[in-house]
Parts: sequence; structure tokens; C-alpha cells
Amino acid sequence: MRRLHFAVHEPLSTSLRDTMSFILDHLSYTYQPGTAYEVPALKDISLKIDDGEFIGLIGHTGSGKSTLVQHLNGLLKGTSGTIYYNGQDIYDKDYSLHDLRMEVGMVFQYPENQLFEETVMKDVCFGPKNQGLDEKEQTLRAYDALKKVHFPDDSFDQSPFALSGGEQRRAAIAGVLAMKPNTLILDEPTAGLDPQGRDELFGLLKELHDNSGITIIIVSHSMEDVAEYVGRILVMNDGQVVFDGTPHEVFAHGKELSALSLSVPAVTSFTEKLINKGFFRDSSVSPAVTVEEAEDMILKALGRH
Amino acid sequence: MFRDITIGQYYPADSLLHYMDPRVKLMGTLVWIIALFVMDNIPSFILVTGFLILIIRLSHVPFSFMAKGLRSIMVLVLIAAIFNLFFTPGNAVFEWKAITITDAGIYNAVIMMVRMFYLIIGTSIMTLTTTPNNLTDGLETALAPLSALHVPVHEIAMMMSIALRFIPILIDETNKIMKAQMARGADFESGNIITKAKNMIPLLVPLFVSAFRRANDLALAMEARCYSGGDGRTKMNPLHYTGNDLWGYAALGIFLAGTIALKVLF
Amino acid sequence: MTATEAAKDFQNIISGKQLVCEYFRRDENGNVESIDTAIDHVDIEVARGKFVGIIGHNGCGKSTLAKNINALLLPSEGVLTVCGMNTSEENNRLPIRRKAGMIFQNPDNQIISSVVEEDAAFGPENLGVPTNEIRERVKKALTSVGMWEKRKSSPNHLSGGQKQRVAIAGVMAMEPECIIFDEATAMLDPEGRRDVLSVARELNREKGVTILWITHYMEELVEADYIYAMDKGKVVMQGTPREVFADTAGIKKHHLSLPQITLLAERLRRDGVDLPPAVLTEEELLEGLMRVM
Repeated sequence: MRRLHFAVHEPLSTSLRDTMSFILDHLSYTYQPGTAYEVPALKDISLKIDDGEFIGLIGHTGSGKSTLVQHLNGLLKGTSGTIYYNGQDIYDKDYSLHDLRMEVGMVFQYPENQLFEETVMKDVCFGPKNQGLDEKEQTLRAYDALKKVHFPDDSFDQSPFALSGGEQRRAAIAGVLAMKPNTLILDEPTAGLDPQGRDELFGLLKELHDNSGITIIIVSHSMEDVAEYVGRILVMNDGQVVFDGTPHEVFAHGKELSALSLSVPAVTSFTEKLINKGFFRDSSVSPAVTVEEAEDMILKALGRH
Repeated sequence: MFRDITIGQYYPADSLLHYMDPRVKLMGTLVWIIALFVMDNIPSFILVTGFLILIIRLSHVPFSFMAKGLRSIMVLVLIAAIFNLFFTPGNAVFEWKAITITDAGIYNAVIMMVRMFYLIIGTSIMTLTTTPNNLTDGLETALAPLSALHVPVHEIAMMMSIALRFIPILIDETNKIMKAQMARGADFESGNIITKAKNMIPLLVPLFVSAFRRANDLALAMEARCYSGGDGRTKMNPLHYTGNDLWGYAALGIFLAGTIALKVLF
Repeated sequence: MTATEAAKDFQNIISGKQLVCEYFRRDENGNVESIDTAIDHVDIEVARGKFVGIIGHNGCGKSTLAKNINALLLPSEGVLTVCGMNTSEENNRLPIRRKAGMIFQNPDNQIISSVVEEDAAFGPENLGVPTNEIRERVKKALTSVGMWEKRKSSPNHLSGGQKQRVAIAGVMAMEPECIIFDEATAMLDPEGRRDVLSVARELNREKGVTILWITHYMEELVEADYIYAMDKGKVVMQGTPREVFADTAGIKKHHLSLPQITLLAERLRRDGVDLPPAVLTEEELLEGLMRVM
């Protein structure tokens, strides 16, 4: 076993086991190693993801963010380094990746493309069925999951192919939720949705996070979309995590981010400009992350509060 | 792993073969196949090998690139060769316990391996030096006389080029759906044939749905770009024979005659 | 038709009056089960050389409208003329499609050929353009979208934004007067989105191509000349971006979302800060705030 890069030199203690969900230890991944097409996709990534976090994983296309999350449920295996899930090395010989996948739910991009059953209900039951649950438990889980995503009751027995795009996506997400994962990873969950659908879905994910306390990781190329909801942002570039912190901490690096062809939310760069122009007497203010924050900041500066 | 297969891929380069008319290359492939089956002695083997080396050099495609595509097929060829090696009756040249290797077995295994490799390299040189559209153009023109017999030659050619365009996309899609269902605990590996087939449903249904949607989108996009069948169409790169093409035909004729002559003479 | 009406129709590259388009849902026996009215008495006019936006949430009828303009669907009521040609007449179909090209949402599903330049040639080939001219057109079209360098590439090796640019070149090679972008940026990442939008703007400005830009991202329409907002098959708002963005009640009612800067300005205005209505850009808001400081 390799040593963790942060101070965990002894076997993981029970307290750590209870509080940590993921530790990535010098994880690297290379596509087609040893060939002319060798591409390093992840380069020596070490990080810790605690239980119950709400994370936005940001990066432009090809930065390695999708590759990274596929490691978290063992769909891809690192070429070097390892991952600990709740204190156990998931690359251990006797570690069951099947069990890991049951605990780490993964919603891929355009998840409606994976619907296949005759009815929504049956499709949502697919995961629980593969978990070996009996029929009654399957139905209960599916019902519960569909309720959680606010899926309309009268459409439970409809063919998934007759639904609107937004409903299909919620049915697909329910299909993963029905497996009762501890961690839910979503790759570009709002791609192709309109602004209303996007807000509804993010609201739903926040609700899931707040009510059931599960860890949620949203992979996205848009910071503006996730800024309002997540507590921590990881920015990836060229197979490495280049920024890791709260939205405020990360967005303070506006220039570096735009050099990575990532843009901070419009209100962030706007309030930054106001700060530079000396609009705020209080020189310690930092750029706003959401429209509400910007509103408050400006009103305060104008003495309207 | 699918990305490794170089058969059917195009390798952009500036070479005599790249600029040759696809009809010559199609004819060349036919001649090549005949020559491989005619070849059965050392002199004809030398001629065929010399011709292959010449073609590889002319194509400007690095041999390592072709060889990479061969690797996946190599296993199949080796298995076939081993079968030939052990199970061909003849004079035993080597015996150990139950294993017998005969002279005819060695001969069969070697010639089969050579034929298969040469066949694959030869045909992949055609696809590596010809864009898929050029290739279908070549087929369309070469088969044009058949449209008098109401064979929908243009439609077949169009279907072929669309298939070539969408195969990689659908392979990618298959991988994605497979991963998505595996994340939901699907199992594509274990079980007997019937359970295996049943387990494929979560993969096949979404794949078909997606293929139909793509076909529908593509039909609309083609219509929006004024496509209305083969009548009245012109071509950006219509096929015209040049001096080189005629030399190409001549070279093919001489090569085939030479191979047959060597078989008959020795 | 009076002389002034005729003159107006000439200025208008697209002109639709009281358009209705219905989808019939049929049961197994082919009997009509229900009728979905995708477009409900829509009037639309797009003047030559303009950049016009259509906005609305998914399922509001904007894509159906786009397909009508390209004569891929026909209105069940009303008259739609494109470049002076009625779309309902069979003989006009090909001329209309050549004058008003269309870019679709999914970049993969509209590229026909496995080589970039051969795809750009597909339209002119269908039109029976002579060989030498096709080559010229393809070169011009690929250059205008910045894809000439990639002419020998396979579309599979391009990014989403680049694929959309290839699709635009395919339309440009037919020398259209108008291009309809049917949510052409919905599946792209932010970089690709900016890229495709700037190509469209450039074609509009420099080659005088009329652009009909259909989207659900408001921020893409800040610089448009005119905006139509649709909901449930009807045009519910129209005007310049400033006029449309100023109607915050309408925006909310029809589930549209304002760009962040406009939204911030609107909230500040509601809080009593003295700002002009419908602030569209950062500069405007900056100026307004520095004034009240």
C-alpha cells in the first residue's frame, strides 16, 4: 500500500473511516499506455472528499473531469496511485467494485439515453433489481426515488419514450437514486435543458443534498451554473486539479480562470470591476458569486441597507 | 480498443497511391486477392512480397501504423495457423507425446499466415489511401452499369458512406450506454448464452432508439441541404483517369501475369 | 397586394402571417387521437440583413417554426413566404432550402461525410453546381468559418463547436441569403457556444447574411436586432432586446431567464437605485452605478 500524501501514516483509524468518503492518493490515469496514442488524462491527483459535501467539478472539455469521476465508482482504474473509499483501498484484490457501484451512483451525460424499459417504473427498478432486492423492495425504492425527483404520479406507468426531455432526465436520475447511493455523481446534468429546467434540476439536487445528506458531485463546464448551489469547487485543467476551495476562494482567481478558457459568473467579474474602480469604500470586500450577493454588496455600498 | 483497428480508416498523406483513381485501387485489390491465391511457390512468393513492399513504400503510410491495426487480428490468424500446424495430416517431422507436426502442416500454416497477413495489409492499404467518400464514389462509378438493371447504385453508395461516418459514433455511444448500465449494476459478462442475450437488452434498446433518432435527424439535415436523390447531382471531385491511373492498370496487369507465369513455370 | 405591401415583402426575407402548425397524434388504427398545436397563429417578419432571435423554453414551438421556414414542415393555416416564395408550393421547396439554410442542434447528426471538405461540398453537389465552382465555394465557405485548415480532417476528431462550424460551412457553400440556427449551441460547452455565435455574427456583419437565431439562452441575444419570444406556440413578446428585457413581468410569466447583469440591474432598480430600465451590458451597469455613487 502506498502512503497517503497527507498525514495518515498509520492504518486508517475508525474515526477517519467514519468521516471520510473518498481519498484519492496520487492517482494517475493514462489512456492506452505504451502505445503511440498514449495520453495522460489524470496526473498525480491527491484529494479528499468528505461525506455530505456538495461539489462542483469544473473544467473545459478534455480537462479530465469526466475521467476523474469514472474512477470514483471503479469504471476506470488508475494506472498508478489508489483510491480509498471509507478507508478501504478500492484496488485491493478482494474489494468488490460491484458493491462500490451500488454506493456511488453515477448519472452520465444525457442520461435519458439509457432508458430502455416499457414503463418508467420498470426502468427505475432496474438498479434495485441488480442489487438483488425482492420485488416489493424494488417497487418501494423506485416509488421513493420518483417522488424525490418530483416525477408526476400519473406518468409512472408511461413509456419513458413518450415523455418530454426534462421528464426523461428526471426518470433517469431516479433510476440511479433508487439504488440509494451514498454519493451521487452527475456529469453535465443540465446539458440541453432550458433555463427553467436547469434551475429546477439544480434545486432538486440541492434538496436531495440537504434532506438526505448524500454527497453530490456535479461535473460541469459552466461555473455560473453551479456557483449558487455547491459548497466547494474543484477546477481541473490538463489532468490536474488546479483550484480547490469555496466558490468565493476559487472565483477570486478570475484572471487565471479565464486563461484556462473558463469564465467566472458575469456578476463575479462585474463586482470585481466595481472593486477595482473603487466603488466600495470597504477595501476588504471580495467579488460576489451570486446575483443576490452582488445586490447586497452594492446596496450596502450605496448605504441603502 | 476499437480505436486501434486501422482497417477502414483513412490516413491522410500526399502519395502516388492517395491520388490514384479509386477504381484502379478497387481493381488492384481484386488482382491482389487473386494473386495471393495463385501464389504457392517461392518465386511467386518473392514477386508478391516485392510488389507489397513497393506498394507500402508508395503509400507513404508508416508501416508501424498498419501493423498496429493488425495486432487485434493477429491473434485470430495465429489461432488458425496453430490449428493448421497441428491437425494437418502428412509426414511427421516432429513428435512429442500426443503432438504431431507434419511437413504439410508447417507448409499450410505458413502459407495461410502469409496469405492472411498480405490480404489484410493489402486491403487496408486501399482504405488507408482512399477517403471513404472517394471509395464509395469509385464503387458507384464502377457499378454504374448496374443501374440500367434497376440496381439502386447511388443509394447503396450513399448508404455506405453514411455508415462509414456513423460507425465510430455508434461505437462510442455503445461504450457510453454500457458504462451507464454498468453503473446501475448491469452485468454484461456472466451467465450462459440466454441470460447473456437477455442482459444485452438494456444496451440494445437505447442503442436502437438512438440510431433511429440519429437517422431521422440526418434525413432532415440532408433534406435541408437540398438532397433529393442521385439525379442531377454533380461532384466536387469527379473521377477522371489520369496518365498515372493507366500506368497503374498496366502495372496490375503485368503483376498478375507475372504471378501466374511463375506458378506455371516452377 | 398593394405596392407598399409588395415592397415590404421584398425587404422581408421571411414573412409569416397567422401561421398554424399542428401535429396529429394517432392511435394504432390511424385515427386521430389528439391534435397538438405546435404553432398557434404566429406572425413573424424578418428583414433582410438582420440578426433576429427567437427565444422560448423547450417545447414552445420555436423548432417547429424553424422547420416551417425551411419547408421541412408545412403550415396547416396561414401563409409563409421565404425570399418571396410561398413554402406551401412544392416547386419552391428546393429554392427555399438553398436560400435559407439551417443548422440543427446535434452537431454529429448533420454532418454527412467523413471528410470536412467533402461535407461542405454536399449542398452544392445536390444543387448540380459545376465541379470547379464547387471547389471555389467550399474554399470560401470553409475559410469564412475558419475551418479551411481542417479541410482534410474527419469530423470525429473535431470539437462540438468546430463541428457546428463545419455545418455552417456546408450551408454557406450553397450561398444562402439567410441561415436559421435551431438551438445550434444547446449541446456545446461555453467555449464552443461563444465560437459559433461569433461566427454567425461575423457572417451577418461582413457577408450580410440574415440570421435567425433560435435559443433558450437570453445572453446570446443581447446584440440581436429584434427578438421574438414564444410560449405554447404563440408569439408572446417581441421587440428590440432592450424592449423585451425591460418587460420583466412577461419574462417571468413565460419562464424565460434574464442575463445575470440585466437581472442584477433590475433587482437594484426595484430596491430603489436610480438605473435606466433594461440594462444590457456590463459597461452600461458600471456607468449607471458610478453615476449614482
